[in-house]
Amino acid sequence: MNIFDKNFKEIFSTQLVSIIGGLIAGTLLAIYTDKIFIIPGMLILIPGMLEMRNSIDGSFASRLSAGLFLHVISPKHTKTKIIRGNLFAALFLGMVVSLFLGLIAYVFNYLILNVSTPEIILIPIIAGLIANLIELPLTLSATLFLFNRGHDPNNIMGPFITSTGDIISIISLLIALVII
Amino acid sequence: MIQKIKNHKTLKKNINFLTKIEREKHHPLLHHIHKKLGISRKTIFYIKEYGPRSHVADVIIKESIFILILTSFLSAFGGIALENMKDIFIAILPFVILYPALNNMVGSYGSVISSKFGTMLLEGKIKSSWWKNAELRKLFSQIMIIAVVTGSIGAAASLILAGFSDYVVTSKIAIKIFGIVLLDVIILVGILFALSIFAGEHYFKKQEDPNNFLIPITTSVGDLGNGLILAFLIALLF
Repeated sequence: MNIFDKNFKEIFSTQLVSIIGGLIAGTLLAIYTDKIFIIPGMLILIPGMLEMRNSIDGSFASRLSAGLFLHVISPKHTKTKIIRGNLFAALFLGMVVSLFLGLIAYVFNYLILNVSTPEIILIPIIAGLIANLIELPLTLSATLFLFNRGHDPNNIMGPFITSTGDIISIISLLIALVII
Repeated sequence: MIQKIKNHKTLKKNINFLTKIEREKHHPLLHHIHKKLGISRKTIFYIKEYGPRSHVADVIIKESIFILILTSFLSAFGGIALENMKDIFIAILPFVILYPALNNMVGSYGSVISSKFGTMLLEGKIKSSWWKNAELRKLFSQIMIIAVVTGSIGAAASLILAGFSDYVVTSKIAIKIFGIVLLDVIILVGILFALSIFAGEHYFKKQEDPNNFLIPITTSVGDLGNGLILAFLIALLF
């Protein structure tokens, strides 16, 4: 039973790429700890926001890849109904999930910590909007670029989205905190 | 109404009808188009979901929103466990640095384990005594080794990065951090495997595609478990 086969190497290499992105995001968290964690409930938002980016952008990239391989989507025509619909759905889902996370954090703060922090509802919405506006075009461009170069985007977009999603989520949170 | 595909016009009418068929229902038109024109079932499915007469955004939102909210809910609960001991957590700088990477790792293992197990189920490789399956045991060994190695790399990197700041890294702290990270990933890989096997077999027996359910379930349980286990171990050791 050869454990260190091609499968092992593929999983291991994608994990290493994901870790690098996660560590960069974590370093940003560590540098700006006093700004991020000053508001109660931020630790409730962070895992949800990181998970949300992976789920939404990962599914988006996966649907795009499937459409490209099935020749239902053309890499030369990006202003099509399918792509516009995907972008709108991803944006909408991002906003809904961000609102939901903000409400959970607010309820926790109110019930457990006896603190009313309405800004905790706005922070993930603003951060989610900023992250969507950066990450969605990036995901679209990267998927089309990889496909045009003859690569299978499914093999590469997973760790790419995980790494960039983490970094962009933390940066978006910081920008949202500055705005609020 | 199905019409015999004689020409381009009847094909177009049939494809428009195709988009109205509910996704769970099989319709002989799907088989008819596949056989007559040699269009793959995957393409037909994609056109049915996202074709010219479908509302793409509606389809995606309806199919994804429930599971996304559920996974976010579970992830948030993991965060609640850490929020309860926030002061201790943010005082240990290596954990702040490592937390997003640990979350990613656990989520990825959930995806890999559940998608590979789901594929094994669909290929008929899993019989009643799954514990005797050599491929499954190999997958378990691979994931466990990768989890331990990448967890160690992450812990080491976080300690090095924390050392660049005012945080004092002693050997005692380093051992505790390595211990917590390794325990966390080992326990979670075990939980995710068990969940994939039992939930996968459950959905497979109900004639559902396990891949549709396992991946979101395992990634969100991974996030929840990561937060709970980290909170418990940090409270215990620090």
